[in-house]
Amino acid sequence: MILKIITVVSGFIFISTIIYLLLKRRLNERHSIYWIAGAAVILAISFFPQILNYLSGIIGISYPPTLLFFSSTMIMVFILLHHSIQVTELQDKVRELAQVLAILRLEVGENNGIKSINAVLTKGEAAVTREEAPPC
Amino acid sequence: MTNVIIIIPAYNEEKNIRAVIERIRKNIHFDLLVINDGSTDRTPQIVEGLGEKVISLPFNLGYGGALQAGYKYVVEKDYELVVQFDGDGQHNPDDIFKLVQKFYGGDADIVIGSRFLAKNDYRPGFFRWTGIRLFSLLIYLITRLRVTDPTSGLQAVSRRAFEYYARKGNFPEDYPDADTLVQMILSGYRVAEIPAVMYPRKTGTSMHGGFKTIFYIAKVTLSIFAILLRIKLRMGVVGKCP
Repeated sequence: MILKIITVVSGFIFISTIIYLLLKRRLNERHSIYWIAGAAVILAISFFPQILNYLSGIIGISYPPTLLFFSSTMIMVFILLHHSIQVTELQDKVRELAQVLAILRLEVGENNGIKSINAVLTKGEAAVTREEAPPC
Repeated sequence: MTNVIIIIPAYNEEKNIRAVIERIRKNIHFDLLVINDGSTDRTPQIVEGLGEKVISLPFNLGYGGALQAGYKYVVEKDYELVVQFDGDGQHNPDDIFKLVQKFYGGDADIVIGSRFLAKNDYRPGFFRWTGIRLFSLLIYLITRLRVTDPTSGLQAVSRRAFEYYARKGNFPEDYPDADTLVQMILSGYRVAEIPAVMYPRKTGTSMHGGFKTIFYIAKVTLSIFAILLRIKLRMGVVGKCP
């Protein structure tokens, strides 16, 4: 009984933390969906531990908690991988932004004569960068 | 504006950059562009003081990221050739002419200044040396082309090649190395080498050392295999539109 209380309470704490973060906008909807789904699974298993027994029976696992460990590890690995993918994507975007920003900063300076130390600099065209997108 | 532009990526090089630029300017009047890679010292002020053009990145991107910013800039202009030159004083400005000459001799899109084709005081550390040898061998096995110094920062890059480099995702953020060369050679870009002088660094730290070197060698090797697999599986053949 105590075990059940502990699991149910931690499930609730988890789900309310997610919702709190969502409301505070420290987690966006796209990401919180996964976590809410995870919290729902935790809650479901805490209320009805029989689910675990039933599923292990089907798969053929003799010690039901192993299924819990296995599935939670797998889910965590996938979430981590998903985050690595997103970090890679963000790094690419940040680099692109930094480069474009730096170039524009030089060109705006040139056009407004801010960096006039370089007196020889002449540039007929306006500081409009052409479309960055490659043909493919 | 000249047809050739020298690009120098610099990160906290206030001790070296003045001498590097002054030595170049003694004989060479090509346009010059310094990419200040988020330096926290006086590197950009020194360069501006010398009357040279600087692109200042808002934070440190790494050697490859800085170079790529330079490529993005020159793509918009009418330059035919970019000469990459390191800001730490390791390279000899006289080699710039040799690179340019080799390029205008035709049949090369990328010309590399190799420290191993010339008599040099430069002696790389054991791991660095092993890495360079290994990369050299990998390039040979894959492309049947002998590139003795794939890690060299002294290179001349033609418009055809830098237009490719400038695009998002086509250039490594840390160091362009054997992986980049394999990709370019397999996409039909012609790579040539000339002997170049390479001095030992005077101040500052060298780029590679210790665990980082081993990690680096593993990363480049993985990157080469990824390139080969991508070509094999036709996942957006490099250099061409899928």
